[in-house]
Amino acid sequence: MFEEMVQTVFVRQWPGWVAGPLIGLYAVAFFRFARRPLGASSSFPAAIEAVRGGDGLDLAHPDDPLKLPYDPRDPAPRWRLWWLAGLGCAGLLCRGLGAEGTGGFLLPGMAGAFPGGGPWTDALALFGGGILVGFGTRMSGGCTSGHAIFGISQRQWPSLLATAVFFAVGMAVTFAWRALLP
Amino acid sequence: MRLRAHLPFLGWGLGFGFVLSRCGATRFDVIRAMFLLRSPQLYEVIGGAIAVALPLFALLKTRRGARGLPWARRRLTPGTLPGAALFGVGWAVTGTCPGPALVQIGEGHWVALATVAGILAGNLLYERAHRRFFHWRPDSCA
Repeated sequence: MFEEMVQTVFVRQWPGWVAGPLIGLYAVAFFRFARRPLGASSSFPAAIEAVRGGDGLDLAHPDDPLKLPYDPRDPAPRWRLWWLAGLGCAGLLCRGLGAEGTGGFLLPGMAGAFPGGGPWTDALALFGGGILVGFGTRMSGGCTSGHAIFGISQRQWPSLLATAVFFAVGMAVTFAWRALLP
Repeated sequence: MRLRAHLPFLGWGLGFGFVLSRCGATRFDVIRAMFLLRSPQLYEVIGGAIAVALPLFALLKTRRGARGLPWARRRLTPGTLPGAALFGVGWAVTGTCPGPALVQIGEGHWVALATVAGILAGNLLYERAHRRFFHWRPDSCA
C-alpha cells in the first residue's frame, strides 16, 4: 500500500490531468505570493547579467514591470538564479528517488534520433537547437511557461499567437524529421 | 539579508521542476509524441494549467489586494512571432523548452549541458543582433 503510493508519486509518470492543474495553481500562487511572473526563458538573460554584474534584462524598457524593484532588498532579478538552481535540484531529487527516465547521458528516447549517433553528434545537435531556443525565446519574449501558460492565462493575445506559432513550427519540424530520417 | 529574500525562490524552482519532471516534460520521447500527436499527455498538462490559471487570474484581478501585483500587458513586437518560430524549431530539435533543460541536468542527463550552453549562447547572440539590426523596443520577457 505505502510502496504503491511511493511508486505512483515519485517513480511513475503523473497523468497530465493531474500535473496540468497543479502547474496552473503554481502559476497563480507564484504570481500572488512571490509576486513574480512565471517564465523560464527570461531566467537565462538574468543569469548572464548576474555574471556580468549588471542589474539584468538591460534590453527591457524602463516601464517594464520586470525592471521595477518588487523587493527593495533585491532590485536585481537575481532571484531567477535561485529559481533556476531550484529546477536543477528538482532533477537531482527525482533522480535520487529513482524516478522513471532519470540517469543516463542521453535524454529518454533520444537514442538514434540524430544521424551519426555518437554522443558528440547528439551533444552538438542539442547545442545547435539550444541556440535556436535561446535566440528565439529572447526574440519572442517568452517560452512555454511565459507565453503558453502564464501569458494565455492572463489573456495576452500576443502570447496566444506566439504559442500557436511555436507549436505549429515544432510539429512541422518533427513530422518532416520523421519523414526524412526514418 | 539577501539570502533570506532569495532562498524561497529555490523552493519555488524546486516545486516547478519536480512537476515538470514527473509529468514527462523533461523527456525527449514525450515531447516528440506531443509534436507527432501521438500522446495527449503534454496537451493535458498545458491545457490543464491554462484551464485552472485562467479563471483564477481573472478572479485575482477583481480582488483589492491584486493592485500591487506586477500585471503586465504583452505587446506584439516584430520579434514575437519570428522568435516563436525559431523557438519552435529549437524545441523540436532539442526536445526541450528552457525550464526542463535545467531539470534534465539534475536528472543526470549530461547531454543537456549542451542544450543549456546553447540557450545561453543564443541569448548572447540575440543581444548582439538586437543592438545591431533590430530597432524595435523589446517586450518584457516572461
